[in-house]
Amino acid sequence: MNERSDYIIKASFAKRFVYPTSIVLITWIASTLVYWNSAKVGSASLHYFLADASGIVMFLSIGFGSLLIYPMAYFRGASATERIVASLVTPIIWIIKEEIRVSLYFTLGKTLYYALNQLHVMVILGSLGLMGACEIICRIIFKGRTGEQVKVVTALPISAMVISLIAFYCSLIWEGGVHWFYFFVRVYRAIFL
Amino acid sequence: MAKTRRSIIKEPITRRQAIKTMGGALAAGLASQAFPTLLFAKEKKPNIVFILSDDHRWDCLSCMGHPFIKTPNMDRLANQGVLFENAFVTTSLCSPSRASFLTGQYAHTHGVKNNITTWKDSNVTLLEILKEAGYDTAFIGKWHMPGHLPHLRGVDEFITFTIQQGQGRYFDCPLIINGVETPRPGKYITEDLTDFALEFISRKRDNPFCLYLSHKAVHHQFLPPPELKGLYKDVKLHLPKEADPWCTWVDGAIWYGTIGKLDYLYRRYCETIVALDQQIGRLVKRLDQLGLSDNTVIIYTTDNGYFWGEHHLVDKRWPYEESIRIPFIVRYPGHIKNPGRRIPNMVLNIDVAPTLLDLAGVDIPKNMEGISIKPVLNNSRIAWRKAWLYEYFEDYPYQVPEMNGIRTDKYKYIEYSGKKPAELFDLANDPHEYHNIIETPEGMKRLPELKKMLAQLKQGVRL
Repeated sequence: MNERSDYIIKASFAKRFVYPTSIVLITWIASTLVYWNSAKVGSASLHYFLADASGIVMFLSIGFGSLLIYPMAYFRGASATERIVASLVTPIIWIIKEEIRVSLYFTLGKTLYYALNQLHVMVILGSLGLMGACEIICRIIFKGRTGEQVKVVTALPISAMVISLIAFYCSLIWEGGVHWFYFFVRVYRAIFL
Repeated sequence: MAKTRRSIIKEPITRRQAIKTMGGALAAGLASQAFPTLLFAKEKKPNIVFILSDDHRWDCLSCMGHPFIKTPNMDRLANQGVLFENAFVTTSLCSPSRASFLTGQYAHTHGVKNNITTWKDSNVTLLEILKEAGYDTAFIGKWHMPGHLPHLRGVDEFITFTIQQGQGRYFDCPLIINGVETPRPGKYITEDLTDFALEFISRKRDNPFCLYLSHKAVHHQFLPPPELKGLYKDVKLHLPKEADPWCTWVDGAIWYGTIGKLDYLYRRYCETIVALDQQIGRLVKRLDQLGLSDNTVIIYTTDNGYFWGEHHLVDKRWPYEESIRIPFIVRYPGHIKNPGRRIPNMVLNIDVAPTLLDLAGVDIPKNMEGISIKPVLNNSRIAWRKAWLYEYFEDYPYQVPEMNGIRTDKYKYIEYSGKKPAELFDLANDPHEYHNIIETPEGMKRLPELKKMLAQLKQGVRL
């Protein structure tokens, strides 16, 4: 991206980083609160609806928040580093929350090892893959609107997408992710037993 | 002079003596038809068919009042035998529970504490003992013990699978048939295992047989065969009030393999149970056709229960009723008084091995920790256990703490390792275990005795 382009004006740090990040982060927090308190509404059907809807929003904000953050940050002049960090804030906070939760059950070492499970890895790699796709789409839009000669497809976003797809296949699709899971347990046994 | 054998044979008999002798022989012959056991020194050993399913909840049978599941074949076993209303597993997890069924021992004894600690080849199974007693034996189905596939002593037929760490697959699951890996394309596992079971029981033989049929059903991924898929897609579900569609995913639940919403998976689970019931029906029908039913003990049970949203949980492991309580049906025609009864006595997975040995007339090894339920089959009022030990060991990465607990007929007290506080439930007044009464006056009154009993159980005392 040509940072001196008249089309994209570098906004303040709050506008290019904090606001996009906060939208997804607050959405995640709010949906989580709704989900875990939906049973208190009293009505079974309302509880079911609220839990269902808030659950979907919860998962989407953790796994797909980058689809919103990255383009917003891009067209507000955020640097590549800022765009990547902003997109990873919510998934990383979620992983930290999970680590705190499981620390009630495991020793410190096992808790730290838990961070390497396929779900956490997939959330990070998946977000990076989505960022790669967003980067390419944003370049296409930028090129279309400004006419500037921008190289749309480059190695880094493509690599991110490929790695993300491989991780997605191995962690969730290939026999439901059991192979990755059993490998994870085998390494656990080697380290801790 | 005493008569010698030669002198007796040579001595002529009178007509009266001849008639008396012939009459006695006739009477003996008629009596032998009515009371065969009286004339034979050794009672005929029963055949044994032990059917073990996976994750089948105690209330998911039509004879237990389930609102829509139809299990006519399991119901038939219950109506022709007895159903134990209070049957439990001492550790609610596949591998430890399965090892307990085989050995008659607690997990802390046989050593398979979770799905990671390996099976010891030195463990003696009930099949090994029955083989020594003259039985033909077969283990068909899910072994799922951590470690390598053992060379099972005393097992004539060992047909199992190791794919997916021993969990198997519902479709196209390759089997290991007496050590030979054999692809099974196009096969549905429950039916495939039943086919092997039918072949085994149909063989001509001189010895009694013991079939240990260990199904993968109804473990996740809860896949019914195509003809039953969608059978319950429109039925109204009666899930607990605290359940919601995503309790299959949150708080680490996704590790249980429950990829999908709760109600969708539950419907598939119920459809898979129907498939299992149909296969049980084939087995029972074959026994009838072979004329073996009257001399065959059938036990149907499962390795643990399953949560479907109770306490906002899925899977098992936790000590609540849905997880630890199992269906337990015994059919043994002619040997059970008043068939069709429900028996309230608490029975455990560790009781199965001593029971089958007892029914086979074989001495029960002293190191078996379970009790034979043979006396209870005809008299549920005999002195029976008042409490038993529940135990669970860490099974990483599942977020369930280690625990020990005691269950009596009225109370359940559980002590957890780590930060989770202990729990005490009054099962008579709070059967769903929603209210932990440990800090109430009633709870504090009961606690000392329960703690004392728990300590005794941990030391191996039977209560």
